[in-house]
Amino acid sequence: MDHTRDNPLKRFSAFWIAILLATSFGIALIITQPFAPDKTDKAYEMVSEGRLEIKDGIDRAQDDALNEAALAEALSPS
Amino acid sequence: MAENNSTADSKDVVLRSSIDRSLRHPVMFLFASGALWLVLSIVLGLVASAKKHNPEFLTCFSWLDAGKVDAAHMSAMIYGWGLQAAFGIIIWLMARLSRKECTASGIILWAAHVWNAVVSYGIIRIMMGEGSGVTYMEFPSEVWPLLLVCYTTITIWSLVQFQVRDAGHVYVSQWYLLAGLLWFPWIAVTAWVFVFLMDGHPLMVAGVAGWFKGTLFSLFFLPVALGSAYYLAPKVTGRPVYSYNIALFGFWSLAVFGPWAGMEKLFGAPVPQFLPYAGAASMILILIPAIAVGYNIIKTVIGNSEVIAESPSLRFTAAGIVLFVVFGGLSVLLHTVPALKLTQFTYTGYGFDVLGLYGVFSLCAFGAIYFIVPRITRREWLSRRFIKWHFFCSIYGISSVVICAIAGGLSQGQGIEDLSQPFGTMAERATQFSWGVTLAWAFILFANLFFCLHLFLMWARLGRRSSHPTLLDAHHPTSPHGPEGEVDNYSSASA
Repeated sequence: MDHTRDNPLKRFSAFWIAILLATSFGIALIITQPFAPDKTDKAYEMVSEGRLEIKDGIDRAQDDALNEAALAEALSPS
Repeated sequence: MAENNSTADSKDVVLRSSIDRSLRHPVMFLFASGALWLVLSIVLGLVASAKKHNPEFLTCFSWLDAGKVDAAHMSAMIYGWGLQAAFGIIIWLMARLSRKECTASGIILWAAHVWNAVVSYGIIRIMMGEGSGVTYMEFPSEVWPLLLVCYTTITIWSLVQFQVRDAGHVYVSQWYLLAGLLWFPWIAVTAWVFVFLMDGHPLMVAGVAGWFKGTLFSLFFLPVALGSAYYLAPKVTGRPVYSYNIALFGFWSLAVFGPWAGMEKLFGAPVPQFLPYAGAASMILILIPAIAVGYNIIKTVIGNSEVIAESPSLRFTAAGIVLFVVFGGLSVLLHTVPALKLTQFTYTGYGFDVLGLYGVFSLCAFGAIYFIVPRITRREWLSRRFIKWHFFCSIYGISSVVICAIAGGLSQGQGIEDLSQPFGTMAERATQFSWGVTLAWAFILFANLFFCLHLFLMWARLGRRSSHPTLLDAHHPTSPHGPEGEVDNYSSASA
């Protein structure tokens, strides 16, 4: 082993620098995430309750109108 | 003086032999498991392609539904074959070029086993219908941290070897390998965090996923392929790289243009328009490094047509580099605004992706494998016929896949744009082309079944014990690898 370039200390530091480099991108993203501006559209959120009520009503009406027996008969191979 | 040279040569042979011996098990495991995944991915590709012209094919098996088998096909090709082949090439090349033995073979082998287990789990989840639906990131979200840990465990030793290499010249191959090693964690971590972890805007998630798809090829697979080509071309021909300045230019042009690739997939989407246009521009500019690298490598090997014809490594590598130039040219044609509009939701993108993954990366990887395996197993390839079949069927197959997919996609695009015709007409336009793609995958499967068999025979050390490498011409007057061949010189360095 050439002690000027290849020694345990250099290997140890190279290993941890590489780990740091690999994880630095993820660390940078996680650190900057709290500083991202809040993109919540408040007007959109305000009308969401009404919209979801309408959707629930439609889903219930469709479920009530669905005839499972007729559907199964239509889909059967014979 | 002659004695000093002879002593230095034998020391060099001892060093190379010890490097190869230290890497035998992890590299052979990575290559062999990668080859098995390649065969599986081609079978899945066959099924996926067959479903395009015959939708009733294998519908009795719900786990082979079209969406699942498409995703499994590309995931197996990228994560099962592509990344494992790249790992094997990286760790061997970096060890050889840094002239350092690997001191972590056991850890690398363990991590490679975990990689295979995780990829298997991901493919099974895809086929159960629990894939993420994100192109090139189809595995469920919990798989990605495991893959990143395995990646780091396998490749970090190469970075350490580079850092502690003896002082001296840094080879062109080392630039590309080092860059690829550092670029992959950047693109993978960024994509995983934005797509799966953070609760971002869905359009931006789609953009990041498209960016990952583009940069996975341009910033990882391509550098590994080019690093391998820049090692093999001078090594096999015995000539230096034609131009150091062109090599430098090619590397930096890829480094500048490559990171912008990918967002052209969002063409027409409600995103800031500079994003898809920047992606398209970078894909057009990929022609510049393609021409630079192609010119440099071809000028290095030109005048040695016999060597290219005889050496399996150089033949596959040269074919890969030629296809890289073709890739660059096609990239210009397919990423103009009219072409993007025509081909965006068609078969064309698939053909272009397969050209990159199989035509460019895989052919260069085969060249590297045909070079590396005899050195680490100390056996020569058994059958020149297997190698020839592998080469010609691969070339025929990949050309057919690309031509049929791109032509089919253009025809489909014309059908989409023709609003007077029903939508079903568009699908029918590609039927004959998808038959062509299916047949072409059958040829590629044939080629790679023999490659897989050949590789497993070598892994079992059933190759030829010979001082001369297996060349593709039985009647060669002299070996292009020298009169005795490198394998024979190991006899003085045996343990």
